Formats: sequence, structure tokens, C-alpha cells
Amino acid sequence: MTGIIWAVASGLLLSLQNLFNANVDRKAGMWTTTTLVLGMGFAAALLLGLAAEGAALFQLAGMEPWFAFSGLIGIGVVTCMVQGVKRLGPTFAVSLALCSQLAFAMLWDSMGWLGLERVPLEPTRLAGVLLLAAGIVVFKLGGRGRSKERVLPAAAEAGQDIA
Amino acid sequence: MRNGVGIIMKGILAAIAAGGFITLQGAANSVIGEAIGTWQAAALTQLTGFVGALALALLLRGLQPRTLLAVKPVYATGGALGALIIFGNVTAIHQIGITLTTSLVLLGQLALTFLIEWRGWLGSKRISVGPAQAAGFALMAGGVLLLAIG
Repeated sequence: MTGIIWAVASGLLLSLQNLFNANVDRKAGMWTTTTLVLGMGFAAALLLGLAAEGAALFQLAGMEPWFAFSGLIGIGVVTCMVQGVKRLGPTFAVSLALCSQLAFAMLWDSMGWLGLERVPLEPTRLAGVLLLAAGIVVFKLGGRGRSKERVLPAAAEAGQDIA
Repeated sequence: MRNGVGIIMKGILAAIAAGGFITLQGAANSVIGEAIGTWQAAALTQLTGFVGALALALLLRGLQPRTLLAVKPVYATGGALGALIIFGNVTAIHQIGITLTTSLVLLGQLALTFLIEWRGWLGSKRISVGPAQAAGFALMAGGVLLLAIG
């Protein structure tokens, strides 16, 4: 049961993280935001890592040089996600990114890139991604009703208090 | 109008690229985590990411730390949530397996994002939610569930 709670909590936190970052971007711009996000991420991982493992955190036996460079991928993740949310709105951007993520993962698995074991394309998984994509299209292109242009400042404020 | 389409196209490309980067990051982090440990991987990759971003920000003259004074402090903690997310993920995978974990993470993320945009929370523009949006969201959730089974 706790596993389920942790998994759902991670998803909720991911959602908050994307929206928090988009709010920083509004005031601080892309590069200041990305630098802050990764800096905060490092500080928090260092603190939680120290709490969990103590000095063993600094034992990097088995370390290879490319491990360090792979951290640069995080720059792409943060900048692209923030730009997507800013231009498309959170739900459209997040669902599109999820779809792309899953499609890339399937492509990756079926090609066996980066020395990983080749995993054949599962019809159920493919159907899942297609359904997700169909959902995005319906969500985005489906009839739009009344309050599209009407931004209610009161509601936005109330929401900010929740955070 | 042309401008609006341009913005949407750029947004779509950014979101698709983000998905690609997330997959790449996930694959790299799992290899690195196996080799040196989860927390070591998280701290190391974010440290080098931070240094890289800082260097790029300085190079492109995009670093404006003063602007952060105008940011609500809670929003500035977005990056730090990453550590909790990693902890939650690792704990969940350990207890309920990777497939169920991934599906629940995706569903949780999608559901809260939808709720926030629907209510216009956290400074997001409210979206109108009609039958089409509800159906679209249900399809997305169904897709995630299929992925869980598959």
C-alpha cells in the first residue's frame, strides 16, 4: 500500500514541479530558471542522500566519465518542459511530453540502443501510447466552451495559496 | 494569428523534445544508479547539470539572479521536489514493481496537472472543461492503464 502511495505522490510532485518551474520562468527567464532548478535539485539530492547514506554518498567506485556528462541531459529536460508548458498550457504540454517519452522508450527498447537488451514491440503498449495520443487530440481539438479567454484572478490567487 | 501558430508549433516541438530527453535521462540514470547508487547518481547528474546550465547562462548572458527576488519562494523549490520524487519512485518500485509505479506516476501527474489547469491554480490560465476535455482525459488515462497491463 505504501508503494502505491509513494508512486502517486511522485506523480503529484512531478506535476507541481512543472508548474512551479513555469512560474519561475515567467519572472526570471529560461536560463536563470534552468540554473536555479538544477541547483536546487542538486542541493536537495545532496541533503537527502546524506541523510540516507551518510558519508557513503561520496563513494563513487564504479564511476565512469560519461556519468558526469549525462547530467547535461537535465538542461534539455528543464528548458524544453518549461517552454512547452509556457506555450501550450500544462495539460497539453505534459500529456504530449508523456506520449513522446513513451514513444521514444518503445523505439529505444525495440532498437536495443545503448547496449540495452532488445525488447520486442508489445501490441498492448503500442495501443496504450496510441490511446494516450488520441486522448491528447480529443482534449485539445474538442469543442471549447465558455471560459477559454476568461482568466479569473481570484481563482488563480486561491490556487497559489494551496501551494 | 500566424504568430500564435508559431508559438504553438514551438511549444509542441519543445514538449516532444522534453519527452525524448526524459527517456534518455531515465535510461542513463538507471545505468548510473546501478553503478554508483541512486542518490550518488541524482546528486552527481544534477551537479553537472547545474554547472552546465550556469556556464550556458553566463555565456548567453541570460543569468539574472535578481529577477528571482520577484518569484514566490514556494515556486523556487520546484527543483528540490526532484529529490522527493526520486525517493518516492525508488521506494515504490521496490515495493510494487516498475510497471505499476510508472503507470501510477503518469496518472498522478496527468490528473493533478489537469485539475490545476481546470481550476486555474498556480497561475495557470483556466481551460474550459467540456465533454471533449473529459473524454480526452479519460482516453489518456485509459492509455496509461493499457501501458500498465502491456
